[in-house]
Amino acid sequence: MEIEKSVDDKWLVMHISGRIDALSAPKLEAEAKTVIDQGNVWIAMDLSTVQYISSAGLRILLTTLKALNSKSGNLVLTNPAGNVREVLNIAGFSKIFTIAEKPGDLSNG
Amino acid sequence: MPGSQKYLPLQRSQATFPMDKLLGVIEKIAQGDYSNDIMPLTAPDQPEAVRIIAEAMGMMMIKVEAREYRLEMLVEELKHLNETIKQNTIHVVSSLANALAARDEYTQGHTARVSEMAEKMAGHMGMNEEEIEFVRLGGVLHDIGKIGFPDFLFQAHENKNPSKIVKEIIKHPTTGAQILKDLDFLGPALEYVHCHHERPDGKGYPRGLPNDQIPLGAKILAVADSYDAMTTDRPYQKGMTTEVALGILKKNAGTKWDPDCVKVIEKILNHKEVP
Repeated sequence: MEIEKSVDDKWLVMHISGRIDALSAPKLEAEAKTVIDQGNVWIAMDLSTVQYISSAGLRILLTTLKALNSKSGNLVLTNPAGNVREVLNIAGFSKIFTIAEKPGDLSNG
Repeated sequence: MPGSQKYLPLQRSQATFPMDKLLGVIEKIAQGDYSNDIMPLTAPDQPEAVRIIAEAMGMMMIKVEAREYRLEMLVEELKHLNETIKQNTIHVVSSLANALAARDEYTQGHTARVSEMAEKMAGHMGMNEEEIEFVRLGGVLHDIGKIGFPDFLFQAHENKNPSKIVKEIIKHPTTGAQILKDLDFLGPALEYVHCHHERPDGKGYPRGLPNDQIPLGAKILAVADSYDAMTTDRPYQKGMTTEVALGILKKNAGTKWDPDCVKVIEKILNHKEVP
């Protein structure tokens, strides 16, 4: 799993590629913690090149969302591919996350 | 124990140890402990059976967590909406109070002054934020029952209390409580409105309640209301000075007004900087 970062307006975008599983989840968790500690509360995770996400990965998304919501910020997920989108739906994430094409599309952002 | 279904981790070989660990983690999850402990067991280095069960458990845990979080979000949203409804209702009721004020110049500033003073007094008497808000609301609404007064009551008259209107006047706390009775969020403020003309000696109106049945919020309102009434210019009398009004309050503390409330308003008025 690789993570690259960019800035889109007020959003800090984390472009994630590869597999988010039990092995790579700690790295994502550490990266998310770093950007939150730097004061970012508007974070987008670009999932367009994520091939697979396990429960360990989903858990990081959920804890990051909770952390940002508690700071009046938000975590949005952008462009998940078909199978990843399906996992997000199964886990019920489509009801608690904003899933968009790009962070700028978000009306509530 | 022969025939026992209980899992006994007797052989801690390489093959059974992860399964042993998995069962321990599952038990913790079942008890509501959603820690990350299950996640290492979903890694590719784990035996396949352990990995598959752990991932399935992990997904179930995440689903439950996501659902719980969604419920928390919804509850927050409902609280927010409820607060909005409450505020809107307060505005509607305040509009009623303003409609009353439009009929009577005196009432206009009076309501605002009484609620402001009552709020300060409640703070000095050690009430918490919520209780203070109920006292303030009571102040805003305490004379709402006057909306039912016939017009002649608002017109200037020579004597302070011509006998034909006394009967009307003593009805207003009850009328007020009747108007407001269905607004649940007013809580104790409803009773403050009903009791703001009751007296510690039991000679108040409308019910002549004994001292121990008059809520503190109503006692505060009674003092704030009377002080403002005495110090405001009326068609039939010039307003008294603070000193004279305070003297009357102190003289009748214990009979007409609650002594602690009188002490508190005195403290507030003495600390007020006179320009």
